[in-house]
Amino acid sequence: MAARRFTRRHFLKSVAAGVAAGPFVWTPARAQGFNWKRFSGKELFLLLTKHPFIDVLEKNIPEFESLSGMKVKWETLPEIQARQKMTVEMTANSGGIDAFFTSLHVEKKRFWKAGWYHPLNKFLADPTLTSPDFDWNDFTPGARAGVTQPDGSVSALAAFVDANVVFYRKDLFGPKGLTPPKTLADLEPLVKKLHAPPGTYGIVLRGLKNANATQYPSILFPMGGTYLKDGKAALDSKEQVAALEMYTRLLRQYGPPGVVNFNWYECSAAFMQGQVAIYMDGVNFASQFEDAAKSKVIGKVGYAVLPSGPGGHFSPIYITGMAVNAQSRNHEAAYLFAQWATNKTNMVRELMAGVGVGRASTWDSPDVKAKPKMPADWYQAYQASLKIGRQGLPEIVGVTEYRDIIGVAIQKGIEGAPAAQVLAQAQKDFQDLLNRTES
Amino acid sequence: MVRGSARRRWLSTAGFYALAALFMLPTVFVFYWMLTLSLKPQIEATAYPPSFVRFSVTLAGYREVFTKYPFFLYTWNSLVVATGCTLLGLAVGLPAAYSIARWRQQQLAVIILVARIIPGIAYLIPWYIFFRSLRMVDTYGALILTHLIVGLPIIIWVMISFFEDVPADLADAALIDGCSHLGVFWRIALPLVKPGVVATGILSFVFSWNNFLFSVILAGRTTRTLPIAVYNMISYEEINWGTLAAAATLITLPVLLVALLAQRHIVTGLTFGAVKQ
Repeated sequence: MAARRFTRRHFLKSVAAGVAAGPFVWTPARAQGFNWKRFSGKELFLLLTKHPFIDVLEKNIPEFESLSGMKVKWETLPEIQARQKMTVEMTANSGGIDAFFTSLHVEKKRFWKAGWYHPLNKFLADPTLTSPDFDWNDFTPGARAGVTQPDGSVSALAAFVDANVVFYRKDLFGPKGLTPPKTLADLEPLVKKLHAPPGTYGIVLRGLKNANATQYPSILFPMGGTYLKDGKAALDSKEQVAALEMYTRLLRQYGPPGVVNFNWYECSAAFMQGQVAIYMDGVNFASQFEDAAKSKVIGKVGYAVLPSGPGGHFSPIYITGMAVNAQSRNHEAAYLFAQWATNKTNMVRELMAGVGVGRASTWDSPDVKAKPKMPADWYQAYQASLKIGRQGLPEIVGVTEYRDIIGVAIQKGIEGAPAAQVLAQAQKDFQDLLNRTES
Repeated sequence: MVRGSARRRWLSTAGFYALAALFMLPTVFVFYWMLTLSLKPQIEATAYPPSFVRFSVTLAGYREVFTKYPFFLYTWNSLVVATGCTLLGLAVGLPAAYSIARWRQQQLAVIILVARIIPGIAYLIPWYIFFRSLRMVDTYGALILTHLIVGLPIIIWVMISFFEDVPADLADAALIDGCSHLGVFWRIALPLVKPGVVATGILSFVFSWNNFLFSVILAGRTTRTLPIAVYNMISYEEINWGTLAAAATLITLPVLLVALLAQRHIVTGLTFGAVKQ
């Protein structure tokens, strides 16, 4: 499995190819005739990750077995361990895994370059392999972009789409007549008004290096910043400086003590313990906020889309998907599973369990509307965020290394170092990383 | 005069216990925290400032461990693998250690130590290819054999010093009386080093019991061992503390009990041979 070399010319060519391929089109007339039983009798092995999406999916796998006549075996490991196992399996070229759950925001380019994803374009266009009601265009543009590589190949089918939103305490906002921030300019005065330590801190965001890299774009994108400009590192732009200044100033002045070392766990715990007025993070946390066994703020949390800024209105999104292993001996059968796992029926089930998915039709499903698990503003904030979704991390091979680079800069910023100075160092390190891994 | 010395003795005893308590506190506190965490509801587990003494007690964590996860299967797997690894390790390691000690095969001993020094992760991919082609992935056999890389060097190295302390004259006398080398090992040397065998056996058992890395890669759904079970409580952006702590407590308990019961042997085992007569 030779690693694909990726050059700029390759990139341009591939973008052109992707555009030319255009949207996939199906004729709904054949909906009834789709043959799920084509690979009846085969056995599939899946490598899954411990994840709310998988918790829901696992329960329904027997349904796929009877639908397809295939036998499905699977293993569910925590994300880090699953990635270790995947690496060993792929290096050993075992072919033992047919389909796997993939965190595209980390693995997309790395696995693609290694040739681990089986491209799904032909399968998606083949009416004998893709059920007419699957409807690729039902996935939001952000979700489709998130699974598509620079050469136009589709590496996975989007399953869970995490979007950053604003969580705020309605019980603190209400008496003061406050409303969630519409723009970045609104954010800081708002946080200041709510800041009343030690009972309540104005805001919490992830401070710990690496972890903070997924929350930083909530400020960076509306500020107008990007990670790359013409394929080169762009961490020292004036938008970056403004964003990092704001992110770190908010935490330094209005964050709980020790926030510089807060990962998602400390942030969400502080919010659930009622110590923080505003928290911006992945929309998925809401299911814990609304769980009486875990949260002291149940029923008090409002959900809103992130504020916009001079650079526009964005929500950083993080996509996980179901991929077919290039080394599998049953590509087509594995694709049937991936397709089933992300079809409309299953996505509605996910949404009903409070797990967010990037399929537009599911949001209007009568089932979801009849039995909403989450508050109405959660659905609204989520849906609005998906529409303005942009991949939250740079789509490069060295995602983890990038996260460390920017993460250290943010931590230093929180501790008081000037933004321009820490970003100059980050810019240099990031460009070195790109030179090393992207050429 | 007598009274003075009694008081001094009392003071030194008190001082000893105070010092012991001081050093034990960090260790014991970890266990205390684990135990209380396993009994707390999630909302109190994440409370800040944390509640050390007063908290409401729930057994939900323990209930979940047994109902949501095949905990007995994992326990059984861990038992089989740790026992298998220990027995096989002793069967191979004791004669090896005896031979190295009796005939001074220092190079051999060093080679075995090198196997232990190389980080375990370096073996993983070759092993995986190897066991895969033998169709042994997700079998007890693969786990037992790989855990030997941790257990066997310990057994051999600790036992070498035990066997070195067995006087050579005893062996020579037995040989003159017509005993074979194997007979000397079995009838003379082995009974003399019994405490060492117990100690190394326990150490090897504990190492295998706690091993995480090899089990992640080489075990499957049917052979998964306990340490991996703990990781099952960590999900995407969610940690189930009560259940995690309950599982951790249940996993630690047997090892703790074995260690306490066999404590005397372990201490002998670790220091035996340090001082030569």
